[in-house]
Amino acid sequence: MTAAKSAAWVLLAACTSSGAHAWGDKARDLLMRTMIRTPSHNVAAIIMQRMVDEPTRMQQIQVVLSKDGRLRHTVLQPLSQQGMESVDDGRVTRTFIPDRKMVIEMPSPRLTPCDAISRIKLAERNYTLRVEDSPRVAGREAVLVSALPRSTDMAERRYTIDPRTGYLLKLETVSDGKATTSFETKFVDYPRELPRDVFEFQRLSGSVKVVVRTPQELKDPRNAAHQLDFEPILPSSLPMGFVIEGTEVVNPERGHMIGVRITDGLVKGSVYQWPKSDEAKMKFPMQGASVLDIGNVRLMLMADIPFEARQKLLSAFAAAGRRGDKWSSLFVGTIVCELVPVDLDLDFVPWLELPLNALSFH
Amino acid sequence: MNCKQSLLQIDAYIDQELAVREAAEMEAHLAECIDCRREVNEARSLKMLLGGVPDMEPPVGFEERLVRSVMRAPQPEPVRQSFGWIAFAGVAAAAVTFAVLNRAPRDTEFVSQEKALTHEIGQDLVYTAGTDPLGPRAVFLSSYDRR
Repeated sequence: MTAAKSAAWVLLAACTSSGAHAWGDKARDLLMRTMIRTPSHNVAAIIMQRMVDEPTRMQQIQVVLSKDGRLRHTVLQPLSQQGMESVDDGRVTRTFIPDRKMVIEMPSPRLTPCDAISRIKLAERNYTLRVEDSPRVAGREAVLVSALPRSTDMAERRYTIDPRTGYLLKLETVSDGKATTSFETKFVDYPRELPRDVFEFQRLSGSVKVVVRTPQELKDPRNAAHQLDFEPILPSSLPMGFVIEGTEVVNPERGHMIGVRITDGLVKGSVYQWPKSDEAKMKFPMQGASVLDIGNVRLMLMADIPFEARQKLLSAFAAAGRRGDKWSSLFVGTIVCELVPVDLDLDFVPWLELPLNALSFH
Repeated sequence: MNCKQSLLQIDAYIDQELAVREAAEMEAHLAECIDCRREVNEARSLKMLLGGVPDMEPPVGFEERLVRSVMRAPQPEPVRQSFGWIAFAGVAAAAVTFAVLNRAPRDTEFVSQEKALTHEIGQDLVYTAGTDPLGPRAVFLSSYDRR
């Protein structure tokens, strides 16, 4: 058992022994269990998941997760991604793209410190957590944990968890009464043993390996202009209970873009910042992102939150940019945004450039 | 099926990767649409051309040097040329690149110097998703799609 796992179980036991039988405490404890990186059971599952960078498309993915923290994901659908797989042995993650004979290798994200305790504290500040129901998902008796946001701009989040294993079976968001499924488990089994070779990574001959560096913490972001070719914009506070977890250089190899990591406890997001002179290299706008220009810096917020919430967060960055001495005379904010309902054919959605004052933030 | 859907499926159609129903829809559309038929014929010709490129064994390290030099090269200014010459040059370059990459030495390795911001952000999304047990299970980006 890893130190992180032991600590989480100790915390969970402490929570339980303190006579916490209220629904809120049960909801918190279940969410804590889902955040433990190494699960109590082996897991073999098939899930349907909305694509992160193209939310109108779904993927069917086979998941295999071992008790010692190894992980394999294989794409079954759509056809255009079939056979892609990623294997994480706890140290390195390798993603294989068969058609391009390419292996993308990066250090395992699971090496990052477990932040379950700080996240759950923040989540309790920003959401009302409660157990709602006992639905069945993938044939399993499950528990639905609802997280009702204190901010009206945020969406309700609904986590369906297998209480026996702590495995997160389904994630939904509910905004304006409309539920959107981020992912849902269609089949799940907790096998006692897994085949020995399931986490072995078979590399095709002639394949090319692309090594991706992990983001590097920016030690002193407020004085990093000489390092980055631009002045990062960092608000002292954020709306809707979000906090800045840290600031990282996204691709240390190049070192011209940072990611400001933000969270409200349940949702994690990044505000990417880069000099606008790099703009020409942006091939296409990403769906689910909101973009804001402040002076010569372009900001892109990626987070699974409603459009209004993204705009509100970006407005906090805009305000911080305005307050900064360097921006007071240069500030020409424009928002590049996707002002379209999801049902439209996104290939033909124009990106609109509007002056900042055309949008109001409350 | 309309032209836009048809164009997205041309490669899969030529490689016979479409499901029976999709293939039937595609053929029904091709029977009616001269533009899409032309696209299919051109794509087929290109694939045959590339398939006819003779096998070559590049020297050890050639691929790594090639990729590095391509990534470092400045973007050329657009030059007015006749379309035929550009098409010929494009096909020739594609053929050479295809042959080289397809015959690359085993276990070739290089450090990514991809500068496209979308790529950087995409890889960061993959990484950060892996740090969030309450988020998406795994991220396979749309840019990984078969094109």
